[in-house]
Amino acid sequence: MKEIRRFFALDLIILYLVTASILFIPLLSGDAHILYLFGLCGIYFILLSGFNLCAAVAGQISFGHGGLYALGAYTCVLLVMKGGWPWIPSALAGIFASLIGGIILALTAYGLKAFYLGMSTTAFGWILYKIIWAWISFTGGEPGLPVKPAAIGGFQLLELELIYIIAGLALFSLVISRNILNSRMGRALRAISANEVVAFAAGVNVTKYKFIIFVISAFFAGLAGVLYAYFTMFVDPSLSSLETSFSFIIILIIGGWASIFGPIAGSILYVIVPSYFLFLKEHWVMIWGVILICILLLSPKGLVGIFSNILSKLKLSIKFSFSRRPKENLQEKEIRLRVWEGPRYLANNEPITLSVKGVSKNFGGLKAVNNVDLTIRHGRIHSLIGPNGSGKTTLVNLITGFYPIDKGEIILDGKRIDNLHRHQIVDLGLSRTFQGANICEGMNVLDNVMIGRHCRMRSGWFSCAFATSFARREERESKDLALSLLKYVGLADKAFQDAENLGDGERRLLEIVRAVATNPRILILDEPVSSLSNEEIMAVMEKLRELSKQGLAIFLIEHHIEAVMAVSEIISVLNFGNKIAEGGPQEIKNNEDVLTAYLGRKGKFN
Amino acid sequence: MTFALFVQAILGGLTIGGAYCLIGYGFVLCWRVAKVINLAQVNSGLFGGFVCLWLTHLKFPLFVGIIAGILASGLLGFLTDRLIINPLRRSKIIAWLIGGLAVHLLIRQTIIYWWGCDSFWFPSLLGKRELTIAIGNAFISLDRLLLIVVAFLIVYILELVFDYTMLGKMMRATAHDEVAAALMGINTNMVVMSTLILSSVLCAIGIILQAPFTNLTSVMGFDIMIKGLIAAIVGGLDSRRGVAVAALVLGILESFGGILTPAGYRDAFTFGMLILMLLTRPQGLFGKFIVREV
Repeated sequence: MKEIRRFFALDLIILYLVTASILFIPLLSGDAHILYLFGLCGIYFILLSGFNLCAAVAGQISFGHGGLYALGAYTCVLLVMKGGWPWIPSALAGIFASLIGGIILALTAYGLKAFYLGMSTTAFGWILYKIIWAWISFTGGEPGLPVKPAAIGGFQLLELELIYIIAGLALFSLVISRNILNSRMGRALRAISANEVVAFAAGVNVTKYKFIIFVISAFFAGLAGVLYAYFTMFVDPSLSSLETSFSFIIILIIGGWASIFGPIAGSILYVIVPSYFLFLKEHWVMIWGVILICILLLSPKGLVGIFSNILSKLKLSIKFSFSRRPKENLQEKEIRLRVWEGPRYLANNEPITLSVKGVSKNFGGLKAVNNVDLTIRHGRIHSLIGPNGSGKTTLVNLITGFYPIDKGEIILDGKRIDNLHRHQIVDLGLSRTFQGANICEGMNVLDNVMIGRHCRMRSGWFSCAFATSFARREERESKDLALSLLKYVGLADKAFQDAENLGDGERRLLEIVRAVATNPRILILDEPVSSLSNEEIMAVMEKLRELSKQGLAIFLIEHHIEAVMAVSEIISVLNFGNKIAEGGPQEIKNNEDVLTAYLGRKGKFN
Repeated sequence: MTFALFVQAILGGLTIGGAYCLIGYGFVLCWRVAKVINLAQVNSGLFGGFVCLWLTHLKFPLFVGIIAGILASGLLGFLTDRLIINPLRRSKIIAWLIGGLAVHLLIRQTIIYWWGCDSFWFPSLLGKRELTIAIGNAFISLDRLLLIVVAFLIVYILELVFDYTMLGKMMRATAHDEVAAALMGINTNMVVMSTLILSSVLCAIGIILQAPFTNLTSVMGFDIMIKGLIAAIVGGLDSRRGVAVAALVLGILESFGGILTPAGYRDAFTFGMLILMLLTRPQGLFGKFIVREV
């Protein structure tokens, strides 16, 4: 039964169609022109499927992939021509050169934000272009180099053989990119581009993933470059030009940004359509410009988006999305089967202590947090209150590693954590939410919870790319857990909805669920109930109390005094970055300093 | 390198730098006020340059052509805002960035349809091309001198505009916090629109000023755009004064690069500087590093 369902998943149907056409079109058609277009399409697809993951899915927009493309092509061609290497080693060397180029580029772009990354990759492509252009004695300069057909042993790879190689590799890249999209890695990449802060809070090693995906896309660029050189039997510096790099982005936007079918639609449109309208030759730039503007304004998801809109108008409820949607009844069944078993700890149920010792943080001259001591113990709700601007959120950012601390130390179970990276702190069991209900818009509710499972999953890029049984089992397990968690808070019926359609209260719940999904030992909630109604607040507090009874330590930052007083066992009060009081709810209610800080004079909380 | 050559290179660099300064200043303005980069602005300016050239071919006086060219590029800036920036500036970076690039391509193609791909001679702004001033053994034509003076004068005047006029204050308010500015009754869409028009006009001025000694080509916009952008980034995208310094440094570096290295490698200096900058100080020479709020 399950196999049948898999068989009918729409993306797989398209996969089979593409496979079939790849296998039969070259055989059936003797037309050299069609063969040529087919091969070119395949080459573009190989490059774009990698580029899609990097630029569109992970949001690492690069204008340097033309350079990587050229690097692969030229390395291979020059090794064969000048070095006399056999074809296969030089092809591998070409791909390797692109990989190295990608690594260098990714390392130099380390930590650069979207726009700056674009500029540094632009510079890379341009410099490579200039080198190829000016180093005439070695690279042939501007006119380019004619390429002799590839030969393996004495056997020459002519057009038809190459087309089969291209088709096979195109299929390979389709499968790989699909696997990556549907895996732990793909989810992390989407989270990075949707909301990097969430990715950090979910324990994603953002830098590492940006690096890996850049290198993977460089691999595909190099592969495509080598194939292009031997398929068109010609290389010239324009491969590395900015126009080429821009054209990749344009094709991707027109085809479908961040969709698995975008590269297919885009490369078909870009390669095949112009060849049938040859009379428009010099007008194509204009036409692409107009199409591009129309797509940007009318259908940000590109041709794939238009296609899926038409399908949904026709009442064919097929959606091109990343995660397969189970049928309704199946979904209910799955959810009914799962009951959340409460937080399962990393290392059994041992008591945990987080100590904040003398921590200070200055912003310019402002002492946001000044010499604060705190101890958070397991199994109780510890609240932090204080007037606006008293440094509560800054303290959370210090504990969870979002800001470096200026002075003091933060110790979790005897181990200093203030010098660790954000994702390592999440790994140790400190999980947080944000003041403004930070969720990944554009991902569905289930994915928003599953991103929280990221730090507890172990499949690396290799098992994600090849969908090993380990990766699939892990994916299934974390999906079950995420669904059970959603059921626990009553969001299960919305699991496959887009998270941006949720209401304010549901967003906050979703954020808490994401934090709980990381299997935390200490849950840090930054104003989880602000802007909720009283009933909603009490419902959330009830859940928090249940969680803490099961042994979870909860550190709650909240303005709603009533709620805080109702649930907390211990309350700390911050004012102007200093801790002014600590104690049980009754004690705090009657503390003179607290009353003065809050009410400005002697008074009473009612 | 003789002393005369050295001075000549500095003067050449100052000239190139003046043009980069105007263009980079436009980028910085847009980035500061609206957090967008309008990739079409240089071609809007180039279009203005061609309008000016067209009118002089029709025997209109030069100043009529210049004014018409500036108006035309302002109009293109306005259209870019209505078509791309206004609808898309709140969505993902890729949307407005590539949208601007699409407009850039459309303008380029329009110019190609109109003028072809040849290089066109542009009349001297001061009437006589041969007018030069000697500084030691080095010479600088008055047209070049005009570019340097006007470019930095304009930047200086704009700085005053920012500090002392209402529009300047509105722009600064929008740059600081768009929501708060809107709540104070500032029509932020209008402010962004005027910023885009202003930046296109600056590009037109830059292009017309350098046209007498670089000529006009329909496809030159892309290179100038990249250089202006590099000046803006090296100076710091959020620093208006930084771009003027960076443009000069860039211009002089490029000028020396052109003399010291074989042809074709000159741009490597520019891009090398960009990469060095991004590696060591991504916020630019004068940019501030902002601690990210969460």
